[in-house]
Amino acid sequence: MSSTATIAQERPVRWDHPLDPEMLQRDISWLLAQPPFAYLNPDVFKANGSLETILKHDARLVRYEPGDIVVREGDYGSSAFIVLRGSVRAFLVSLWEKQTQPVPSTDIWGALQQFVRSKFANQKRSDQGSGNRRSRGRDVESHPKHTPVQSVSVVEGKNRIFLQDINAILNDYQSESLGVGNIFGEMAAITRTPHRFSVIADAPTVVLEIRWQGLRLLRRDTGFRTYLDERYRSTGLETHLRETPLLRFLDDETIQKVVAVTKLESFGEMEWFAEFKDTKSKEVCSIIESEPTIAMEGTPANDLYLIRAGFARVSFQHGSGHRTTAYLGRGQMFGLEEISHSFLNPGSQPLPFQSSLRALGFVDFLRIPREAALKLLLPKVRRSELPSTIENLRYDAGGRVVPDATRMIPESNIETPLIEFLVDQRIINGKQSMLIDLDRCTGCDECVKACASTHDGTPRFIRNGPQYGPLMFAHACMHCVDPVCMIGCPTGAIHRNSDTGIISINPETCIGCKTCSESCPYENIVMIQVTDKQGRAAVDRNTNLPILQASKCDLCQNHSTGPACQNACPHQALYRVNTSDSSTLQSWLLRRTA
Amino acid sequence: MQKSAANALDRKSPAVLHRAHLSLRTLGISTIAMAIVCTIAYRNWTISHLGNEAFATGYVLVATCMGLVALGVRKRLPLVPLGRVAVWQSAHHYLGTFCLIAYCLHAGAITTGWFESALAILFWTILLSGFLSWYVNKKSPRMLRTAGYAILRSDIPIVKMRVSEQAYQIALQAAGSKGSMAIADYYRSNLTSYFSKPRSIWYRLLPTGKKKRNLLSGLERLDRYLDEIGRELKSQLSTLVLEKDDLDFQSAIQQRVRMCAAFHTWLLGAFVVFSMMHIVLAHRYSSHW
Repeated sequence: MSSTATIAQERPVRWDHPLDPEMLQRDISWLLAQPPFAYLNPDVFKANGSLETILKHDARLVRYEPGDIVVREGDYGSSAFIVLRGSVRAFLVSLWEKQTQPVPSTDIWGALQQFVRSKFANQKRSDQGSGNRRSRGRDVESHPKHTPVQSVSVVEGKNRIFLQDINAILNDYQSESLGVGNIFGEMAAITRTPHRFSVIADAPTVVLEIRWQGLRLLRRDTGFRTYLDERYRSTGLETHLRETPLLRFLDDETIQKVVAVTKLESFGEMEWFAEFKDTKSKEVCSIIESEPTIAMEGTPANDLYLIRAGFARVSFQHGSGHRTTAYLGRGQMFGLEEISHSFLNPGSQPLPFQSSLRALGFVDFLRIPREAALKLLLPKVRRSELPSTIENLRYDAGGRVVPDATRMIPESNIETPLIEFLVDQRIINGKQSMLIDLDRCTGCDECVKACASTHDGTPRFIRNGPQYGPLMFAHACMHCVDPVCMIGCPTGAIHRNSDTGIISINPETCIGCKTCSESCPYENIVMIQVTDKQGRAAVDRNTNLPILQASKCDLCQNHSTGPACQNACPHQALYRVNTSDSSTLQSWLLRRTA
Repeated sequence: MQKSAANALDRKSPAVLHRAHLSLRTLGISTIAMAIVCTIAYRNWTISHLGNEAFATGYVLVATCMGLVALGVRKRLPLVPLGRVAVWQSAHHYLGTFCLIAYCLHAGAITTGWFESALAILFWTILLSGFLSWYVNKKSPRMLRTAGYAILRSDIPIVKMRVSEQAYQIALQAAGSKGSMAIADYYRSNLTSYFSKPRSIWYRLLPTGKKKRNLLSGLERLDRYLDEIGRELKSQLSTLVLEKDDLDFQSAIQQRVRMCAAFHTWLLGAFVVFSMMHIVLAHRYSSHW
């Protein structure tokens, strides 16, 4: 059969596939009469059909038995849950020890060494007893005796994952009961971050799961949005502080005091990618100046900033522009050097911020007042972990520019132009950026061929992209920290694997609406024509126009070999690098130099 | 769970990594040296036991050739967990070196008979093409980098067309004014073919900047005939000449890499077929294995 032949079929449309085809009309009518839906303004949703349509296609009723896992900590959030019947338990402590995975080596000797090490490590593990931070923070006496064991059973053709001996676990682990009407998981769903806690059903329970596409539509109702925002700002703060490495020695009482004074703030737009595409062509200086300023250099360092989600640029005025010295992501702090300087030199005058902090897109952060940081936090931090005293000031205690001052050493050891490039191109968002070393790449296209043969003849990336010197960041999905491509997907076809964090597209539910392709600020998603097994291109039965589907790198997640492109490169020129973490990138650069 | 190469990177210093790299190279070289010693010992042992050393070394050579062919097979199996192609490529280089020694032990420097001679010529050609391919792969990345922003080979014709069209428009503009007429003349006589026709086969094999330099100096010499606007147009045209040369250079280098690889692969395939025939003939007509 000729590959140019076409086949007519119905064009897939939004809401072709309800989240749960088995949900009945009477269920939806009942839901509409329940809070919070009964209090929502139906007129708000007219643009998207109706509230009923949203519930029908973006929500589903899920039944759980006692012990069933509703949400597992660490899994990427994509849905919010409302308890409709029964109750669930949200565990305030971590249920599972976070084991350090052995890092696979890239050379044969390294792999062999690792194999030998892992053999010994397995023997030692039981002796070490290394609990995670959350469990270590509690009294030794209260350390749980039962390790939760997950089991899988099949009920009515569906997998049910449950914890064995739930009663013992409820006794051993601190948990909070969530009854009818309670909502959970919405923070993770909205911010596209992993869940912070596990939720287990402790009775026969019915839960309404609303996927984030629907949640986003429901947030158009002012009341609902305010309710979610308040919860978003008031819950999880304690957990977040506990998870911050620098604050791991804080006791419960101090944590509570810090929680009481900490403010939760957000800067920038959640949908930053639309603006980013427009500003890409503008002058760099004007782009930086247009970025929302969180903290300005030279102004009093009255707060310690702790990034919760998103990215921020650290820069200082240099000539008539701004010099970027670092980028901060989740869990990193700003203002610590200045406050620590005062802490280490008690008699000295407080220093102003030596750099500015600007939001790169959407940034969600905690603001801990300086006094609280000095009195509550820093005394509990190890001296060796505190930044050293600032020797070369850029701004003196009065906020004046120090003339002829030796400029502060950049926060990162990566050269400044590269940091500026990464930040300006927003490559800092990538967890699996495809980096091609042009000092090694011969353009043989073995990577492209391997990708094509792994994906039915269609390569999932373009071996070209932004370049910085000998480094090329190819147009391949970076599996971003903040995957903006997922925003607006009407069917949820583009999704993040909860175990691996890999973002992939489900061809069964992709309707070819181009939303993800147009949202991706890096042009890493392309639309391809749908073909059948004989190679015939599918066309719309009514309009005769081609039926398209989004295509992007899935990191060969269905294959045990890992990314085919990386394995196929004969010159070791292609790597997948986590550019969101400057230390990982730095390691790669060191290796490259070596 | 997928693991990226980045995750696999440990925090070793460049010096430590450099030492690790050197130790791997030492390992490769010492393995090859050991293999050579073992082959010679095996050959001598066969002779001392009144065996046919040609068969002994011949089968070592066949096994080595199979190992060399394995790289091509590995490249065609991206989904089979057989390790990184880069490692295979490295092993291929070491094995290729060993193959030279094994061949010399088997056939010696000079062969007789038309079939053996053909096989010998094929072998030496493969060896040379292999070394050439290795050299080209080593040098090409830096050569490509000197030619500006990396561009996909498939995109080069499109960009060339755009450059050619821009040059034509400049020539048209120049033709309309007395102060820049010399540019139009120069374009017609020297640049039309440069922008519209592909470069010679010699350029593709050994790209040089000679043509570019000649054209640019020719354009420079036009200065005396040009007014202010003409000089501006000349400057634009010079930029396009440079751009076209960069594109030709990128295209030639990328094509050369592929040609070398393809040539080497085809020859290796042919050599394997000839070798099989040689084995059959050897067994058929040899009285002493």
